[in-house]
Amino acid sequence: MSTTLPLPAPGLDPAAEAREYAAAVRAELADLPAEVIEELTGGLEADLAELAAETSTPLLDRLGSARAYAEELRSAAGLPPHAMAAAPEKRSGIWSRATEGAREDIEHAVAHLRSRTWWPGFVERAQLVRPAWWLVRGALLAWLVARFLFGPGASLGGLLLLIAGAVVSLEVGRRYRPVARWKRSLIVAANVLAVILLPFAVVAMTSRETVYVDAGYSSSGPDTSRGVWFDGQVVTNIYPYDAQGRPLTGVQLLDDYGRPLATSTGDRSDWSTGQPNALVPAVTADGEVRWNAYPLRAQLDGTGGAPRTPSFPEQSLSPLVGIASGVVPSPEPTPTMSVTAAPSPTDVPSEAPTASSTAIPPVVTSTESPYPAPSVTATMMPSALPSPATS
Amino acid sequence: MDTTQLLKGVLDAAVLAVVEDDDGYGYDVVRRLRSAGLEDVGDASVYGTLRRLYAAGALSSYVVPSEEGPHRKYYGINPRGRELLEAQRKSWRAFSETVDHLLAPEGDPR
Repeated sequence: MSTTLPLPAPGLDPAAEAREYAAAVRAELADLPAEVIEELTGGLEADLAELAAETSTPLLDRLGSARAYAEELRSAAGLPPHAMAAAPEKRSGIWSRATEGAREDIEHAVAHLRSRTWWPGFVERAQLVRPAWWLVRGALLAWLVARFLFGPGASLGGLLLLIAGAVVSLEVGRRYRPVARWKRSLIVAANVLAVILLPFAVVAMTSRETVYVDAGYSSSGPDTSRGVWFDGQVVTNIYPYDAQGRPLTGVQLLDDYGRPLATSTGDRSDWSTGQPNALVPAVTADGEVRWNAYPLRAQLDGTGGAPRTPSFPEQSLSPLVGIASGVVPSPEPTPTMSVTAAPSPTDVPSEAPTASSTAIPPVVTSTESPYPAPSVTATMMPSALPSPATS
Repeated sequence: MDTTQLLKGVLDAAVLAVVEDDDGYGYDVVRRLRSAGLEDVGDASVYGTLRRLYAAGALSSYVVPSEEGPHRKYYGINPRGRELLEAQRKSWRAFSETVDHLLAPEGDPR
C-alpha cells in the first residue's frame, strides 16, 4: 500500500478540504441513524485526504457535490434516497422546507440540461472563460466597496482596490472549493451580487467618462459662459475711440440683442488674476449701476479713493474715412429697444436726445480723463445708441 | 452502452474480488478497481457497496489509527464473503457466456 507521493495542490490543505467535504457528506446523511452514518463514512477523511493530495483538482470537482455524493453512497449501500427518508424533522427549518421545492425544481432543470447533447461542450467552454469571470466578479465587488470608501469617480485607492479585488477573486476561484454549504452559499451570493452590479458598473463607467470631459472643460479653462471674450482671453476693459481716432470715455455698449456688454460684474472671480486695480462701474443719474460704460474706471484696491479712468493703450488712432464722429441721427429703434427703452413709444422717434436725458451722462469723469475731450464724450454718450434698459 | 448500469450489477462481485487477497480501505479499493480497468467507478458507489457488503456480513472491518491525521477503516473478506464471491463468479460466468453467445456476430463459431 505504498502511496505515491503526490504534489499537494497549491494553497489547498488536503486534510482540511477532506474534513470539510466529509462533514458536508455527513450533514447530508443526518437523517440516518448515527451508527449507519459511521459505517458509511468511517475513515472517509483519511481516504478523501489521500484523494485530495493526489491532484490539484479540488474534491468538489472530482467527486461532485456532497449531496450527490451522499445520494450515491445511500443508493450503493442499499439505503433509501434522502428525499424518501421519512425524517422531515431533521430538515425542519421553515426556510429549508420552503426552499426544498425550489431546490428540487432546480435540480430537475439541471438534470434536464445535463442530458442535452450540447451540455458537455457548453460546460467545457464555460470553464474556459471562468477565470475571466472571477476577475470581473472581484473587480465588481471591489468597485462597490470603493464607492462606499472613496465615493463615485476614479481614485487611486479605488483603482488599487479594484485590482486587489480581481486578484483575490481569481485566487479564490482557482483554489478555494468550499464544501460547507454556507461557504458555497456565500460564494454563490457574491456571484449573484456581481451579476447585479454589472449593469450599474457599466453605466457608471460610461457616464464617468462624460464627467471627465466636463471636468476637463471646467477645470482647464475659466468659465467662458460669462464676460466678454476675445481670442480665448477674457476682456477686462474696453477702450473706445471715435472716428477721428480720439479716445472716448463713458461709452455704453450693448450687444446685438440689446444686452449690456459687460466685461465685469463686480464679481471678483470673473476678473483675470493679477488684476491690480478693482474696476468700478459707472452710475446712472437715477443711481443704477452700469458695467457696460467703457472704459471702466479703476480703483486702487483698499484705498477707497476716487476711481480713475485708466490710461488708454493708444493716445489716438488713425481717423476713419467716410464715417463722421458724433450722434447717429434719428435712430430707428428696433422692436426690442422700443420695448425696453421707451415707456411711451410716441416720443422715441421724435428726438433722440430726449430719451437720453434719462439715460447716463454722469459717467463722464472729465477731470480724470487724460485727453481733453469732454465735449466729445458728451455728444457721444447719450442718445446715439438706443438707451439701454433704464426702465 | 451505458457501462455505469452494467457496473452496478457487478460492483459487489468486483469489490469482493479486489479485497479477496488483500484487505483494503475505501479509497484503496477504489484505486484497485480503477487500475483493473473499471475507470468509471464512482467513489461513493464503492463506499456504499463496502458498507452494504459489511452490513450483509460478507466483509469484516477494522479501524487502523493513524499517528498523524484521521484513522483508516479497512475492509477484509470473511468466509461469508468468499461464499458470496464464489456464487457471483459462477453466475457471472454463466451470464456472460449467455450474453457473449447472444451478441456474437453471425457465423462466428464461438
